[in-house]
Amino acid sequence: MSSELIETLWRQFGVEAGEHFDLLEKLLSATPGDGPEAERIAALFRSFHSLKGAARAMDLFAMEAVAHRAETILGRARSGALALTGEVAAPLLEALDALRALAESGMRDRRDGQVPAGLLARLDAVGGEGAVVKPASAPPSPVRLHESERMLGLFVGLLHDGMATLTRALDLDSLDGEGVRDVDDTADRLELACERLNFLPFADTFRQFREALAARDPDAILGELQAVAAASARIGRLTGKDAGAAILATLLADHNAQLLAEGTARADALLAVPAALADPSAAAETAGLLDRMAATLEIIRLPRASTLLRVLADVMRRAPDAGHAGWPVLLADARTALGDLGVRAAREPAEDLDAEGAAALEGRLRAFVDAVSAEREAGEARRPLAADELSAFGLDPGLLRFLSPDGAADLRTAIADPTMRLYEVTAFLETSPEVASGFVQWMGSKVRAITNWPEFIDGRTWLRVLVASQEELPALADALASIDPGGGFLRIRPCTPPDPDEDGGETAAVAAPPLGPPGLPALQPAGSPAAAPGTPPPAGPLPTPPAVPPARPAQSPGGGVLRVPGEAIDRFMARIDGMVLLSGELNATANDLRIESALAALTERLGAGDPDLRVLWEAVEHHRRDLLDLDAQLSRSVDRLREAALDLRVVPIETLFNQFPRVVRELARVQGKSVRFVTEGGEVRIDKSMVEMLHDPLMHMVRNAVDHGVESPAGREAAGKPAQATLSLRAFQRNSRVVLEIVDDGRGIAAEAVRAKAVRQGLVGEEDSLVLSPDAVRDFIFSPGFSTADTVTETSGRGVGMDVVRNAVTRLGGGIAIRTREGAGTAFTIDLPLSAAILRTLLVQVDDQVLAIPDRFVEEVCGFAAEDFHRVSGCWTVLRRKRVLPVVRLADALGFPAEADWPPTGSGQCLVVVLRHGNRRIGLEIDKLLRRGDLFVRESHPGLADVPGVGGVSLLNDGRIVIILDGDELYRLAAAVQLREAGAPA
Amino acid sequence: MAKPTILLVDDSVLMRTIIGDIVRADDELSLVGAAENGKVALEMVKSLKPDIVLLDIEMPEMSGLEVMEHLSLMSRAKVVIISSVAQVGSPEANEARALGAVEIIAKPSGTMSLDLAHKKGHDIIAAIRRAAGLPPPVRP
Repeated sequence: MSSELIETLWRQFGVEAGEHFDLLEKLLSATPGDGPEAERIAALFRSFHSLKGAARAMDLFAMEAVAHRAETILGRARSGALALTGEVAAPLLEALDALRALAESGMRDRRDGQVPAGLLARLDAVGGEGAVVKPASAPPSPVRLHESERMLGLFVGLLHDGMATLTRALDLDSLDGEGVRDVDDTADRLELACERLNFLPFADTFRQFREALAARDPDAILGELQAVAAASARIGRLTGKDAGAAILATLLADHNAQLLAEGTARADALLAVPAALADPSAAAETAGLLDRMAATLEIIRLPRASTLLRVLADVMRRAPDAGHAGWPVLLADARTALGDLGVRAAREPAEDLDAEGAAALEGRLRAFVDAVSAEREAGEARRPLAADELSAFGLDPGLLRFLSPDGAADLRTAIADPTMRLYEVTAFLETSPEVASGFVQWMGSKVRAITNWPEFIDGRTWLRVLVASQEELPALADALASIDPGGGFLRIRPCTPPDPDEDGGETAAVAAPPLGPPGLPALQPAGSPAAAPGTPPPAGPLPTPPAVPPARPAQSPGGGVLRVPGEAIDRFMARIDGMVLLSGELNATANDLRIESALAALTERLGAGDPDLRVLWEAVEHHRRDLLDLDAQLSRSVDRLREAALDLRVVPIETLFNQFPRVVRELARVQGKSVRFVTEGGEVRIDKSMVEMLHDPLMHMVRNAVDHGVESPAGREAAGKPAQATLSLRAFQRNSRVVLEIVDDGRGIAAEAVRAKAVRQGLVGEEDSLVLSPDAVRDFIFSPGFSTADTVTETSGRGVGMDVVRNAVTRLGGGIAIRTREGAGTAFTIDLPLSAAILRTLLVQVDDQVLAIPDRFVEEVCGFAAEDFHRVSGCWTVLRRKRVLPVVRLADALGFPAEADWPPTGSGQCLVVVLRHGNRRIGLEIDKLLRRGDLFVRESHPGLADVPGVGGVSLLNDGRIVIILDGDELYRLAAAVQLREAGAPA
Repeated sequence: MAKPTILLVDDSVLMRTIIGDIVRADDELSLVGAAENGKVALEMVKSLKPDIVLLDIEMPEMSGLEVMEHLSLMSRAKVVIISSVAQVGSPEANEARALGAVEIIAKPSGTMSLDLAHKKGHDIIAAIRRAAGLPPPVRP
């Protein structure tokens, strides 16, 4: 042992012993009530114990003896055999003094000292010499680890923490060698943990995952991750703890959503042909598919849907009698439930099936298998009812047309059940989606529908539904009134012969049933032109709602949501654009002046000539007018079609934003941080393709913000900030750009740390780096593989990300900027060109040029007469809401030649667009107001780019080019004209 | 064959110095890290993947036994307990055994006198080598 090392050891001994002495001093003088006593005793024990070990190592045996006895006393206190009272603390303090002295003399003399006389005896008196020496017991057999609750708890924690890392394997492209190692290490550890706990199949899953990772096989990786999710969900259920299934589900959400969507579509197709399911292999395939979907549903915690699908799969496996009349109905209801599930599962957060609806269908499915055989004997129930039977129940014999055998059986059951009453509900569902969805939910929960049929009343198709329910009329009427507070769309009437004591059975809450022209409150104008009078009544019973319809989403009372690939919509748009052009040509042809002048010339020539020719002329002229009419109609219709199609392409950005709160919550929870997540500007509409392209970059940034930006609650409080961090995601439109901001109030990014790291990674030379501006330094964040995180977390880190983010943004033609202040937070600003965005504008016309003014800059459009214009300090103004509004010609602002008089003269109305800019207003005189329009803005033509005030161009439906004005710039230009006028002599 | 890698966990810097010195003295062992508490140790186990972990029992925050529980689920490292608490047959020793400790030895003492130092160091080295499957050290 070198003398140098020995010197080091003495120095370390001195420092360490000193620390222990200080700590012991503090702990021994603390009042027992100051903190948890057990912790105090444990800390005291450890300290004496450490001193003992240190003394022993340094050959200070006297010191060791004292420390050992003190440790013994605390050992007894720790086991509860002794309370740490004053009588006990006194000798311990004495021991502490002795230890200090011994340590000092030992360090000074480098040799052992003498214990003060009587101290050891006094300590022994308290501690009892030998009291801690436990009798030797036989070595235990190894515990069975998985039976230890503590070990299970640890395992669940490991699983939970490892999940986020595992999912990084889904993004193979952004995973470098180090990233792959990270993921593999995590999977390796989990595999080991499973082995140790004897969860061997689960260990296999991790091994297979690692093999898939090594092979970089994305499908296999996803498959194994799903298996991991399913297994964690099971473990979570068994232990009652969160084994990370939820976070994995969150992170797998996209994949699960896709899986579900595909599964739903596939299952729907399989179920659509009941006869085909008679083939056992087809039934088995369907059952397998349903089981897989059920597993996915379990992962995303939709237990009702999961159970329902499992039951359905079970029924399917038993290859039921496809010829049974009840089967197609059940299948149809199952399909409806699947459709409903597709919609609900796609929501954020995903919603499970309606409890009662799912349970009802499940019950019916379970009952079905048993009932098939029973019903063969009891075919009687399904015998068609006779007209007089219906009349006897207070029902219209006309119902017979709509009663299926099942309906007949249901009706008989309802009639036979004394607790059931029959009601006839009349509903108009095409006006209000809220009413429709509420109604459908009500149908699925409160009542049992027996049959339904359309009723054509007052030019509208109403839905009549015969329902059975155990509830009394007033309760049902109240329920309906709460769905349709305005009344008028829903009514109910009992079908059972009314009790003479009751007042005819009409409901108080929901008005009378429509008999003849109903005295309804005025209906809202029907939303779509297709609902115009003249729509032929449907020939048979309405296809929806089904007999027991599960609830449907509010937005789609009639249809459910379709998932359509983006390309399909692109093709659709292209065809519509083609139609727009053709329609324009038709318009030009129909309006061809040459035809008009030819006809005029003919008229002249004809004079009072040949009456036969006059007839021919009239026929041609008539035809031409028809053509013009048709052209106008077609053009309007194409216009509407294009707008509707445009609506398919654009979505509010909140569909993107909504995907983050869960991720933030989970990440924050995993890391023990507290984060308030706020979003703003969700209504900004962007092209759907942009939503898809922005998802991953934003996800990276949001994760980064939680991982690296946000400090621990304790760290934040230490820095004088609220313990809860705020992370905000904001979208807004600025000029011709869409701007997204991701702002956190975390620790910010230290330029120095970035610089040092960049130098270490060889991105820049040390000397060069010193001359860079802080902004330039921060730009290294976007370099491939860069990370400043000191520790790599389970969820992000290792720097994969910001370069990917920048690439994605650049691909969209945008840019990303970063503002950060150490200790205060970081803001990333992504701005994207409007070229891929939809802009809501007001279309106006000046001369024959169509111009679009961004809608949010337009306060209103007013008409003024010529005499309303007055000159105020050199400018032309009008009085608007008793305030002076300066008005300039839009043509002047844009530098277009303007020929009309200014200020306006004559008796015509002068149209003024009130432009809003902050709290300033200025009026712009226009020639013609066209309409509001959503424009799909294209990058402006280079030739137009320099024209002041122009933000971009777009195409109108007729193929005309429309110039989109930049609101800010337009205001500036208009204000400049106003100033010029003010400066000009009156 | 690569030298067995060793991670040393002890809250006392003095002990880390002494034990580290002992381990480094054996050319056939490779000391890859030293951790001052259980949490750091678990992180280091993740990244360093040592073959053997030398573990103290009495440590603040996370005791050696708790560290072992975690280790048993996340590492294939063999655990050698170096603690004066863990005398043979003590409850701590039994629990350490149950959790899979392969060796339990006392802390070094008498470092200062050369003979004792060699002797105690010899015990520790012998235990580590047994754990690593190496032949016993040659007695000085």
